[in-house]
Amino acid sequence: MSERARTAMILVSGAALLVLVLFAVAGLPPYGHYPGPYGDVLNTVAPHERQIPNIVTAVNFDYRGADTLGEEYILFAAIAGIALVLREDRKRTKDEPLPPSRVLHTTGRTDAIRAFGALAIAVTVAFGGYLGIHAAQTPGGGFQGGTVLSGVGVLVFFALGYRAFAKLVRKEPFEAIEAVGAGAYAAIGLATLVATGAFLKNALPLGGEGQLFSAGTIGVINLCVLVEVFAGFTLLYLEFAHETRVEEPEPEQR
Amino acid sequence: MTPEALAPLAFSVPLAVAALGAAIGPFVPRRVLDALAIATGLFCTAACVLLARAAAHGTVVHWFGGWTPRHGIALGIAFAVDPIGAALAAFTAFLTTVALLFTWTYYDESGPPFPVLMLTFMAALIGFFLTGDLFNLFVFFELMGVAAYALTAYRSEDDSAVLGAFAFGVVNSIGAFLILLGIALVYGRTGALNMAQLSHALGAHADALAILAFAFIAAGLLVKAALAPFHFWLADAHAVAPTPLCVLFSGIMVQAGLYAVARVYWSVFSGALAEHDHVLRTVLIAFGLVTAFAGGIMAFGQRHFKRLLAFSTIAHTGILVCAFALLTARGVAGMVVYVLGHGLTKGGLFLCSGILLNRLGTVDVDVLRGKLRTKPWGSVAIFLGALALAGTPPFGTFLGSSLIAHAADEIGLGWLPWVLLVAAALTGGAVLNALGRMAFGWGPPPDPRAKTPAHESPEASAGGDRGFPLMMYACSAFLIVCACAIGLVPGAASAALGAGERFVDRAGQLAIVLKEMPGAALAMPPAEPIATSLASGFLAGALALAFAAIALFAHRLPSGAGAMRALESALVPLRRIHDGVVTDYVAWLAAGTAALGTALAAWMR
Amino acid sequence: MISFIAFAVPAWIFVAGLYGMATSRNLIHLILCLSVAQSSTYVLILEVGYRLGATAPVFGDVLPGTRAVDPVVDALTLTDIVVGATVTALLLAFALRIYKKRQTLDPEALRAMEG
Repeated sequence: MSERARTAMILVSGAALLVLVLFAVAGLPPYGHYPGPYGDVLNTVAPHERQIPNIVTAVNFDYRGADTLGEEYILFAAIAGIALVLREDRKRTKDEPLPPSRVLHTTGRTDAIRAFGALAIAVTVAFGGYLGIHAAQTPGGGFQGGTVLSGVGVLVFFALGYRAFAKLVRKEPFEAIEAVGAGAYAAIGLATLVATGAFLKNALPLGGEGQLFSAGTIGVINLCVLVEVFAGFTLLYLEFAHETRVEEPEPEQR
Repeated sequence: MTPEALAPLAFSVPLAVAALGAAIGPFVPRRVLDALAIATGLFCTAACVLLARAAAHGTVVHWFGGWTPRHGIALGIAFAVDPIGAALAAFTAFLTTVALLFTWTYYDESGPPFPVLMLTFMAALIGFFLTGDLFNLFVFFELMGVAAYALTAYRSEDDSAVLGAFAFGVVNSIGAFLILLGIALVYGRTGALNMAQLSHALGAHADALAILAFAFIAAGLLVKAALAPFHFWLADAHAVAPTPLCVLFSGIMVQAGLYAVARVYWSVFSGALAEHDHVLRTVLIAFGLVTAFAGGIMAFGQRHFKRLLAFSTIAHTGILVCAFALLTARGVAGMVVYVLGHGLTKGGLFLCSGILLNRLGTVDVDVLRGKLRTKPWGSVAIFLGALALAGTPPFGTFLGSSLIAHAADEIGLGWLPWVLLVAAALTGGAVLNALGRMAFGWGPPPDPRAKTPAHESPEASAGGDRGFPLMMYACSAFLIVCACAIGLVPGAASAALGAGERFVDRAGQLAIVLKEMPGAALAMPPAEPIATSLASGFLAGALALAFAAIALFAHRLPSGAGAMRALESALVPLRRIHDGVVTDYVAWLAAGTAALGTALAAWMR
Repeated sequence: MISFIAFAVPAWIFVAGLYGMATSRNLIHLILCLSVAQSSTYVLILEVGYRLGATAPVFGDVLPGTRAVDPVVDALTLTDIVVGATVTALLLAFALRIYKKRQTLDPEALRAMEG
């Protein structure tokens, strides 16, 4: 299709779609007046039944835990796909040393950057860990914490350099960690199926509200998610970081 | 082990095994992973078959996390398994197992990702068929998608593979968020995500919101189902994806999209949209017929055998959409039987193409001219597959199309089955045309000016007798035999009709899922004798042979060559549309969605 | 009026994202437009679950039973964002690979198969 034909087609279709969506949303209840009942029922029963203040976490890992399991595996499959595609022409075994590499675009890395980077890394680790562990009590959780923690990898890359990053994050242990995180979630589901007849039923002791170890399997699943998201995103950044390097040919002997 | 526990097992065991495979993959020989994957596939097939038998006595419901509904409000996610869903899930597991068996000897150097991703893909499809929750359906749709994109790019050294995967990913992702748009609309209206609860809350009348929500959800799912004009990604993806994956794509993944449209319609919207069903019928049949003929015609011009089969799948999607569009229980029954018959046939044909690629190094029909003479059994398999695609007895596709024909007659659309017959015969004829060229060198000499299809590098070393190549032939023959056998199983038609009745019974599902009342055994209405359909079935096969004969031999007649050239040039605009440019696909998708939404909204007032 | 504006925003984002995708001349730009279009669904989902004058559904400091917004839409959006991010990452990896092989990111020049 010529560019003009395509532009005409998308303009017409886009206008039509805009009108259709506006017609559709006109039928919704007015903004700010959620009618329920799903959310209201959960807000009422969850704090009591699961001893958990953060209802969003309860929904994610308990009431709608199967959705989160599926989403974990989406992350897992996507990381596998990325590794597949980007690793094609880098067939290095883990025993070989890193090849000599040349930075494609370089900015100076001063001492100030290194120092500030190290500080930022420390703060990020602490904050990410805090965010990830307190899923049941605060608006945090495995996803949020795992993503923040994986930012540590990016900080290492920028502040301390590619070599430091590649040495710190070896692909095999992280792949194993990621797989264990995902598999553990499925395994918990299977175990609860066997134990209680319902998949992902919250069968562990619930503890008191507001305590760190509370809400039964929600806490355990949250840790699995934290581990998996952290490992998965770090692997992602590693793969993309490798792409900023060019394989250099052997230096000639003069 | 209660049957209700089988439902979560069927999708979570392959996921757990996939993670295990990824964790231990670098440390164990490849054979171990392959064997583990095949064993998991067999387990899932058995589990889903048992589930189907249990579902025949009443929809099997499993509430995740033990969250049973309170006062008619669903708190958690439910799997609501009816016989059709379980049967299709079993079929998925079965096809995956056969595809993995085929891979046993097929790939020289495939690492852990392949069986791991295949298991994830299978798990996603199984969950997709079993679920009774709308957002859960979306999650499995995305999981199925991501695994498929990754697997399509598997031979990433071939840049056209990655490009095909990219187009696939972009187009299907737009489909996914169209579904989400629809879900947001119905959730905003009803505050429910469980399908049974939604149907109760939507009431008996449809306004613009309900109609458009259905239109968006259906459009997104029909992108997966490759209905025109959402179909462009399919041909590109099939041409470059590894062969065992094409078996699954054309065998069941595409049809899963259509199943979900049927499921969402019958379980959620059929009450609200019932008064307008003639509009939906008309609109969907229009789209379906365009798809069926576009696919059939495009199939005829293809030199790349896998791409030819992909266009045939698109044509069959058009036929299946017409079957669904009848909006009756019998239509659903016919659609499901047709899906099974077509899936087995297409799977067998794709495995044949994989053997071609492996043994002869190419799937280009013109390059293979006359070379298939050395493989008589392969030619026989392709011949039978082509007849099955046209809907010749005794194949499963014939049984499906005769059920569809009866369903259409019932509602006064007696002309429709004949039109569909021609479309199916076109695809069968296209395969026969290719076979004639490959096996006997018939047909006009290849046009030297024609563009060569992108080079497809062999997926494994050609000619190597490492391992057990007989396995490849066995797998492909097995599938074709099954395609034949499905049409012959006694009582299959009755069972299908009964399952169809259950599928459309919205009130019954509501009672079982939300009010936890016990289910009833499947009714088994008697099927009409198919003697009258036999004639039209054989006619379809004859028509396919006729189409192929025209394509192969018309150039030898005095005026034939000129006529063929005129026909070719008339079809050039259609071919030019399929240009491989991703942005065009996006524009067509937007246009198709706008057309579908506008048609439904305007006429359903 | 405010309802109309609130719900028109996701409608516009959605259509604008699609327009950007269809007229794109660069695969990276196309992927980012996909992200934009996806974000329209997040906005819509969150909007339908909102309640004026209500608090977040976290009952740490407030008593259970206080008027709160819908927690389900929050959970759905969380799931959504992760899915969207991972698909974007996968598509970016594809684009990177395509660039390495074909040295271009122009969709018009990158045709897998024609006809």
